[in-house]
Order: sequence, then structure tokens, then C-alpha cells
Amino acid sequence: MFQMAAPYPTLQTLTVMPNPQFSDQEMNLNTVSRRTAMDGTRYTYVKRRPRRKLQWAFRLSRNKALEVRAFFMSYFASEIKITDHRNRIWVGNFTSNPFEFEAQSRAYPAITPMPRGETISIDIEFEGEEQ
Amino acid sequence: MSLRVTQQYAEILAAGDGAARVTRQYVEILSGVLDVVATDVLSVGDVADRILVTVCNASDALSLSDTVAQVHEVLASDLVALSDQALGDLVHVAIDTLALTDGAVADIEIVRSVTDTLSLGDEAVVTAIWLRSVEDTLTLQDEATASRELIREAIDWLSLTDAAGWVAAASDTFSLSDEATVDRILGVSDTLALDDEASVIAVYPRVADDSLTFDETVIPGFTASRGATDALSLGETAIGDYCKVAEDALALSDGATFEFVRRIADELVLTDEASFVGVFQREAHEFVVLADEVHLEREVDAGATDTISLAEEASLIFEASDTLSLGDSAIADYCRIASDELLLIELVEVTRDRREASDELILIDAATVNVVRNVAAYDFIATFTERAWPGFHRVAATDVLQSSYTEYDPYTYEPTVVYIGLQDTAVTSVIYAEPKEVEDHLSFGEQAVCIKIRADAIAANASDSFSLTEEVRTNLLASAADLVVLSDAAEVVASKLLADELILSDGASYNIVRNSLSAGDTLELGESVLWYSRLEDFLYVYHPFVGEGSGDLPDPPDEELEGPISGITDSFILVYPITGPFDDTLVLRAPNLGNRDRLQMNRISRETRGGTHIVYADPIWPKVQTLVLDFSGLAWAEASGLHTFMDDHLGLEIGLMDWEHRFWRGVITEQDEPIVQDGPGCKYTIGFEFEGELTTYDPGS
Repeated sequence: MFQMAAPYPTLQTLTVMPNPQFSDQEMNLNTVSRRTAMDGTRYTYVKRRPRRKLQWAFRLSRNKALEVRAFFMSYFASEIKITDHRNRIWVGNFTSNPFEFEAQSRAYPAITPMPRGETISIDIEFEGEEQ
Repeated sequence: MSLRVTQQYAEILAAGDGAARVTRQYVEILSGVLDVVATDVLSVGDVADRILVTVCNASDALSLSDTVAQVHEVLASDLVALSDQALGDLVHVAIDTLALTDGAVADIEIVRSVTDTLSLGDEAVVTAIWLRSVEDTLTLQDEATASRELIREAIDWLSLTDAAGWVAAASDTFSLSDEATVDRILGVSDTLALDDEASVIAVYPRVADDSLTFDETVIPGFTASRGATDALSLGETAIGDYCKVAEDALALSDGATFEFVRRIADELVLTDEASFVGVFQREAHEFVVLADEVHLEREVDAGATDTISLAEEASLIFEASDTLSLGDSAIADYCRIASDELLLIELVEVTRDRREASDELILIDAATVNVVRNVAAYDFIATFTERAWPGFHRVAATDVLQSSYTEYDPYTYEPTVVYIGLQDTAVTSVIYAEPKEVEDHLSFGEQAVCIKIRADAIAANASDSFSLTEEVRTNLLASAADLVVLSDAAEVVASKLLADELILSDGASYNIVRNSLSAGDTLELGESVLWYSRLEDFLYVYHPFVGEGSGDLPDPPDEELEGPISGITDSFILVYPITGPFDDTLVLRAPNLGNRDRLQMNRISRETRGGTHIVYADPIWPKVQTLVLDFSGLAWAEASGLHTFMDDHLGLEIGLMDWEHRFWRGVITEQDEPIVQDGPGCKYTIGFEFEGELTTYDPGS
């Protein structure tokens, strides 16, 4: 189970989603700059960042996709608290722009009030610190 | 030609309309008698003026008797109106005496209406007089008596104002009696309102006394009367500025007694105040003794209410301030005993007691200053409410805020009272520097309610709200500490709704000003409530959990999903214009799967030198929503019709009813995709991008 709550720290809205698809990504944002002196000495300049960049891909029902869409509309620039599928807690911001919902296939049954059942995919890119 | 009248006598017969009829008139004229006119109006004017005369007396006496006696008439009216005034500027003695008698008597047994109105104004004014006296005596009798049984109404109303001020010695005595008595009546009303005031201003060695004695009783003498009301309201104040002694004594008794009654109410409201201004090394005493009792002896009485409302104030400017506000109530229903003790004696008794509720409140309020030189100590406890309500069926509630016990000092063997519970103290012992002030404020409200709810009760809510503010400030000490420790919980074993609210405000300020340096610290706290529950299929349905937060927050998502527009059967419709009636309409099949809904927000994302990631977006910045749609399996007419529609309304705002029957307004942004024939027959493919937002559907008429 995957949870997104915003705005951090005075959380107002929470959206619960199913676990993301495989191929989720997590990367650090540290940078290393290498320089070589005239005598061949190698110097490195390191910039460490406590933040991580995470990417998740979700397959959602049409109704849940509309809920996530409304969440993005409200809190796309707010600080987000995410509890991921490993129960790790992250606080940061969405970096995806644009958010693109794609209808991949039909799904059954349709969940009221929507007339058609569909499966929606959405990729989320997030940058934040683990708490 | 002018005449001088030396004497004049008139015989007058009064008429019923308030005027007078002159029957005879004798006029003594100094020279000549020409054109003597007699009128039937009696007008009396008497004026004596002495203006700017140094040592003279002015006297003005007016005596008037006016009687109307009508026999065998239906209506009798007697109206006397007069004005009497003596004005003296810079005189030694001014005397104004006004005496009159006004009576309306109807002797006939069958009387329709008797009205007796007596209004007068009596005033003695002396301006800029030193060491002289002014006397103002007002005596009047006002009586309306109806002795016949068939009289329907008797009204006796007496209103007067008596005042004396701005003199060296002031004595104001005011006594009156007001009574309305009728036997075997339908209604009787007796209202007595009076105002008595004696004030001395800027008088050093004088005494101001204000005595008000008052007795009012309403006694219905017939046992079949339905109601009796006795209301006693008075205000008494003695105010002395720059004087040595000011005493204000207020004693009153208010009683309403009835046997075999259906309802009885006795309300006693009083205000007693003694104040000093600008007096050094003096004392102010204020003592209020109050006993209020409602006693019911009959078992069948429906209710008994005993209410005591008390306001007390004693103030000494520059020395000490002590304010005590009390609120106390005891309620007993259906034969129970309720006792409530709040530094005064109050008792409500109902016989045949079965249950008992006890509520004790011990309150200590002290302000102490030991070494004083322009130093103030202020202690204030207010808005203190403690209440314990017992519920039904053997439920006991006990709420104790402070208790005490006595222990003996092991060295002096003196008994010492030890208090446990809530205490509030502000003490200033020794001050070496400039005037300082120590304040201690403690506002506290607590309530414990126990209600037993039956099993078939519909709803039960329990909420507990606790608000606490604490602040410590200092500008001399080297450090400042502010510590708030609290816990707040609301627990109910079996309830429909459970709410726990904790509002916390904590501020610690510490300012040091040395030359031009300053330091400040501000702490701001926010609060939010968020919840979620594992509902059925909550991973698939639209169900954002929206709570509450504090501060400037974005608008949360809608808690309910807006459904499709009803009554739409076509799978996809393009219309122009966006509100009906539509001039151009194109119906297509639903787009292919793989359509995309793209949200593009404008926001600023920056990283500081310290590595902090900052994202900002103004709420008014545009949010672009784009639909990317492809259509396959179209007939040539449909594909070419879409081309024609886009060509006709290029750049114009159109309406789009999507395959989920939601209506969008916007423009087609990518319209240059070609028509592709994928195979024979109806296998034409075309696509476009649409930028817009959801709106309401208005097909018009």
C-alpha cells in the first residue's frame, strides 16, 4: 500500500494507492566533480545531498486515477509525505511535469459513477528525504 | 388708548374641557372704561425676577386650587398644569415653594373612567454661591381609590426625581410610599421606581451620607389568584473623590411568600461597590453578606430554583488590585438534594431525596506585596467553572480541584494547612531597582459530564476541548524559561464519534537591548487532523481522506467524484459554440485506448547553496490540461467531417463531450494530423490534441 499525504507538515489530504509496478527507481543526487592538476594529481569535489530521486509507475483504476489527478491538481507544488510500499517515509516534492495519465486497457467492472472501466497508468517522479 | 387696571375680580365657573368660564368680572380702572372684554379662559402667570441685584430677596409664591365636580355625568376630568420658577443670579437667598392639591372624585356608582394625572416640576438652583444653603422640599400625595366592585382597572403611578448637589453640605432625604390595593380584582400592578443619589466632589473635610430605606410588598389576599410577582431592583452608590471616609451600606430584604401556588419566583440582584481614587495610606473595606433561600414545603411542587449572582469590587490605585468573580448554580430535579457551597451559604432543599450530587469548589485568590515602592503585584483568577452533573440511575460524579489537610510543624507544633491541587500565586518580595511588575494569570475551565445512554440511543458524541495559554517574560534576568507540559485525551468506550482537540499556543520572548542590538524569538505552531480507514475497495474507488489543517493551505480535492452528465447517449461529441443551441455538432466513436490526460503545472523548482530543494507555485499560475486523442475505424464522412469541423473553428473555443460523458471547454491545439486510411472500408484514422478544462453542460433550448 502506497500513501501520499499533503501538505507537509500540516497534512490535510491523504490518498491511498496500490503498490507501484516493478522497475521502480531510487537514486541519490550526490555529484562528484573531478579535476586534474598540472602535475597529474586528481582532485574530486563532492556535493552531497540528503535527498533521493524516486520514480514509481502505477496502474490504477479509472476512479483512483481521478483521485490521484485531483491530488496532483491541489498539491503539485506542496511538500508531500509519502509512505512507500516498503513502509519508508519520504518528505519532498513531485518533480514530474507534466503528469500524464494514459488509459492502457479496459477493465471490468466499471466503478460508479464512471460509465466505463479502464486501467490508467501514471509515472510519478519524486525528490525527497527519507525520514 | 391705554388703560391701567388697578384691581380685578373674576367669578369663574369651570367647564369640563379644562378651560374656565367667567361668569362675573369686576375691573377697577385708573382712568376711563372703554371696550372691556371678558374671556372664558383662566390663565395665571406669576413671575418674580431679580437679576444682577447684589443683596436682595426674591420670592415667588403661587397657590392654586382647581376643582371639578360633575354629578350625573359619565366622564369627569380634572387637569391642572402649572409652572413655578424662581431664578436668582448672584443672590443670597432663593426660596421656591410650590404646593398644590389635585383630586378627581366621582361619586356615582357606575363610573366608566376616572383619570387623575398630577405632574409637576420643582427645582431650586443656585449658581456660584459660597457658604449658603439651598433647600428644596417636595411633598406630594397621589392616590387613586376605587371602592366599587365593578371597577375593572385601577392604576396608580408615581414618578419623581429629587436631587441636591454642588453645595458645602448636602442633605437629601427622600421618602415615599406607593400602594395599590383593590379587593376582588382581576389584576393589580404596583410599580415603584426611585433614584436617590448624594455626591460630594472636591470637598476635603466633609462627609457624604446616602441612606436609602425601602419597603415594598405585594400581598394578594385571595387564595384563588393565579400569580404573584414581587420584583425589587435598586442601585445605590456612594462616591467620594479626595475624601477621607466613604461608606456605602446596602441592606435589603426581598420575599415572595405564597401557599398553594403553581409557580413562585424570587429574584434578588444587587451591586455593591466602594472605591477610592488617589488616596494614600487609607483603607477600603467592602463587605457583602448575602443570604438567598428558596424553600418549598409541598411535595407536589414542580420545581425550585435558587440563583445567587454576586459582583464585588475593591480597588486601590497604585497599591493592590483584587478581583473576584463567582458563578454558582445548583439544580435539583425530581426529589433530590443538591448543595452547592461557594464561599457563601446557599441552600436548595426538596424532600424525599434519593440521590446525591456533591460539588465543592475551594478558591484562593491572593495578592501580596511585601517591600513596596511603586511596585505592583497583581493576582487574578477568573472564569473558573467547575461542575459535576450526576446522570440517571445511580451514577456518581466527583470533581475535586483542590483539597487541603492539616499537619503540624515539627519545630513549632503549630498546625499548618497544606493545599493540594490548583494554586495561583503572584508574589513580589524585594525590589531593588526601578518599579517592576509581576503578573500571574491563570484561566482554567474544566467540565466533567457523565451521561448514561440507553442501549437504544441513536447517537452519542463526546468531545473534550482544553485551551491553555502560558507566558513568562522577563527583562532583567539572565535567562528565560517557558515550559508547558500538558496532556489531552478524550476516551469513550462505546461511542459513535470521538473527538480530541488540543489547541496550543506557546510564546517565549526574550529581548536584550544593549546599544543597538536586539534579539527575538517567535514560535508558531500549526495543527492538522488527518485520518484514513481501510474501506472496502478503497484502493480502487475515488476516496481521498480530507482532514483539516491550519494555515494557508491549498484547496483540497473534492471529497466526491463528479459523475457523468446524465441523458447523453453518444460516445463522443464536438460542438460549437460551447453553450447551446449549437451551430455545429460532430459525433464520433470513442477514441482509441492509449489516450492521454496530461497535466502541466507552472512551478519554480530551485536548489539553494545549502542543498535545500524549494518548489513554489502561485495559485493563480495556469494549469494546462491536455487530452491527446486518436480515433480509428472512422468512416470517410466522419474523418472528413472532423477535418471540416477543425477547419471551421480553428482557434475558437469549442465544447467536447468525452466518452465518459464529461463536458470540456477549450481549443484544439494540434489539428494538423493527417487522415490515414488503414484499410478498405471504414478504416480511417485521425487524431488531435485538445486543451481545456471541465465545465458545465448547457445545451440551451
